[in-house]
Amino acid sequence: MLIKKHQYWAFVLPALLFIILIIALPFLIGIYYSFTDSNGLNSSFIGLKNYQILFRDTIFLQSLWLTVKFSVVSVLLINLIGLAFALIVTSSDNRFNKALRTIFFMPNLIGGILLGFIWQFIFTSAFKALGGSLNLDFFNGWLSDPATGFWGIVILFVWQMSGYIMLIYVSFLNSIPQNTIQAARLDGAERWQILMFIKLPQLAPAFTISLFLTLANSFKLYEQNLALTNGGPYRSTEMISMYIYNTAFVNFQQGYAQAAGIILFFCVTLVSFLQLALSRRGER
Amino acid sequence: MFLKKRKFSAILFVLSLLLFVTAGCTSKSQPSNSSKITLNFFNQKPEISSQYQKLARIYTKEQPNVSIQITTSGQGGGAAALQAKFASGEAPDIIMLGGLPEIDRYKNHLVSLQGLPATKMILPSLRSGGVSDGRLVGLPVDLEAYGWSYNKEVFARAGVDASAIHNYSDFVKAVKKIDSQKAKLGLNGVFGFNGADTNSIASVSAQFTSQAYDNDQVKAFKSTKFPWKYGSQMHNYYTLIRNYSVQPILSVKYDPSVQDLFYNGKVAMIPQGNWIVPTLDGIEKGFVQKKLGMLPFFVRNDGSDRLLTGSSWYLGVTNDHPKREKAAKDFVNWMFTSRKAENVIINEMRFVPATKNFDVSRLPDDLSKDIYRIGSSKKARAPIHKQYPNGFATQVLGPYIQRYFVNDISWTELEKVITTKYQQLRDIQSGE
Repeated sequence: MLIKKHQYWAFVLPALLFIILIIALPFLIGIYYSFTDSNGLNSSFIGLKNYQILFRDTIFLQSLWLTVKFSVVSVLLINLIGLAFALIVTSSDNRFNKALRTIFFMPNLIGGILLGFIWQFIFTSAFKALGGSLNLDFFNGWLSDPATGFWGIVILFVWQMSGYIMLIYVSFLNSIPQNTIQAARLDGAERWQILMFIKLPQLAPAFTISLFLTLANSFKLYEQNLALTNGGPYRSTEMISMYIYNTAFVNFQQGYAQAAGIILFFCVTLVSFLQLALSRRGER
Repeated sequence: MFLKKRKFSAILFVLSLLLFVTAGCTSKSQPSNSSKITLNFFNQKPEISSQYQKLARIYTKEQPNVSIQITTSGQGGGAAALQAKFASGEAPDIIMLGGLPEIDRYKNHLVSLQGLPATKMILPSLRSGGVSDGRLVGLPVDLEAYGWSYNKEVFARAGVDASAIHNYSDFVKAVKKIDSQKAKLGLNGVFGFNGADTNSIASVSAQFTSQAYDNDQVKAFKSTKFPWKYGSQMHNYYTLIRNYSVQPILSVKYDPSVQDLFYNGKVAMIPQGNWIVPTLDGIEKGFVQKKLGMLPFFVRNDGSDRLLTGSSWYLGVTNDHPKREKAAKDFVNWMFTSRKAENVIINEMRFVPATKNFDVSRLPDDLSKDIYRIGSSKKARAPIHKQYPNGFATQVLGPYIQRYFVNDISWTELEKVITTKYQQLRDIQSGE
């Protein structure tokens, strides 16, 4: 009787309990710690001091700004390349395209740390050899310069994420009714006209999902950053997540790092809601 | 019965609760209180974890009711991993700690080692590195020398006599002489400075900052000012490094700098100490005896400059498990006093021991012998870079020197930034 009567709660309760214990509670405790001077073992309440110092901390602001720049660049590139991949693999249904689909998706199966080390080898050793044999200065010293370090992470992340985003676009492209496209073709529409006026408008929900995924992921980027540059040279490629980790576990200023984490949380929430609201409007 | 009707959902519900309850409890269950003791040893030096395993096996053979469980975590993640151990209530019995900031963080967990026989044998210049609030809570793992490691063969082919270098101008002359023959000797640079790592930048800086404290590590740890007394010589050296090192200097990493550049004779000098000994002899047996030599930094430049000798790591015993405290102390004591343990430490870890009255002839190579002689002499001077505030080396000093290496910042500006950031970190971290 008991469970029958409360069937709904019987099913929801276990999951709810875990969510409260593993997500909600630590989050609230985290907010509390952002008002303390915790070093991980001891802490005392210091009010808003952490936040006051944070907004004057040039390195924090610099890494936040770097993260914003990185997100804009990588979101654009990933979605463009992912969409291009999707259009290529759906252009005709043959073995070659199926193989391509697997190849494009493959990087996503490798973990971020491993990818970081693979690309580190490419940027330092392979590029150096390439630069040496072609006599091109362009290939030398990647990752030891702030600009190329930044683009190194962008290239790595785009390479990893494009295949995944491609899958989303592929599934939406496949759900476009074939008869619409055939009708357009009979009416004499060119390929680019079919793309611009039939495929793209129907992909609007796919854009919403893909933009959301790439945006949230690029804001939270950590392990690729760690494995590829570890913030170097001279902390110029240190993204916000890495800044938070280093403040917490290298400097052992965990209250301060927690405050930075809360600010990151607000940034991600704000940007995600804005993006969702805007692209939902675009879908209509 | 509802159980029959809604069997599935009920079982699911109970199972998930059970999972939850057991997950919460397993960490609390402890092995039954028998005479057998298992000590947990937290090691932060991955390169010697197998040798520690060996020490543990030898010790268990001598003391059958004590076994030692070694957890190793290092390469930057060690400090955080250790904190996680304490936070989760699984404090290890023996912990390896790097410097007084780390010792200070755990000072309430560490027991005094004052009465141990091993304590009396520690070299005097290394003692203060294990002192917190006046209590001796850490014993130095080994004796490390800080200076330039040079390749004797490259020096000989360049016609440079290392024993004739007595001051800074001699050193600069030698550097220039080697540099002029770079093509002939097949060198990529005079120095193989690993500019990508902040660790080496920090340990080199210790050459200039340690002078002010006269082996008092506690004083260095309490200091709220970055010591610039030998700042101009520091400037000279970092400029020399910038001008004569393999380029691009910020791409050079520790492992390749030792295993490729230095080992293959592509550079004459690297800013490392005797911790590279096992790596080099691991590639080629006898390399160290044949080709590895060390030169000091000429900081005071008055003939008194020697290699700095200190220990980056200290062993401490925790008070979290009172029943195992004595056994832990005994094991630590054994590592410093037993001849069997010493043999593993000097021949397999290739460490120079940090204890007094050690018979030098037992050490396997001439460099180690020299280092022990310098480190055990009255004039021994220990580096203090491990006492910088948490994160100072990797987050402040390293990055700013890296900027200096690529001309992104002037030295005057660098001095200013480092002074303020050092003070800020100290202020934040000293608050209790």
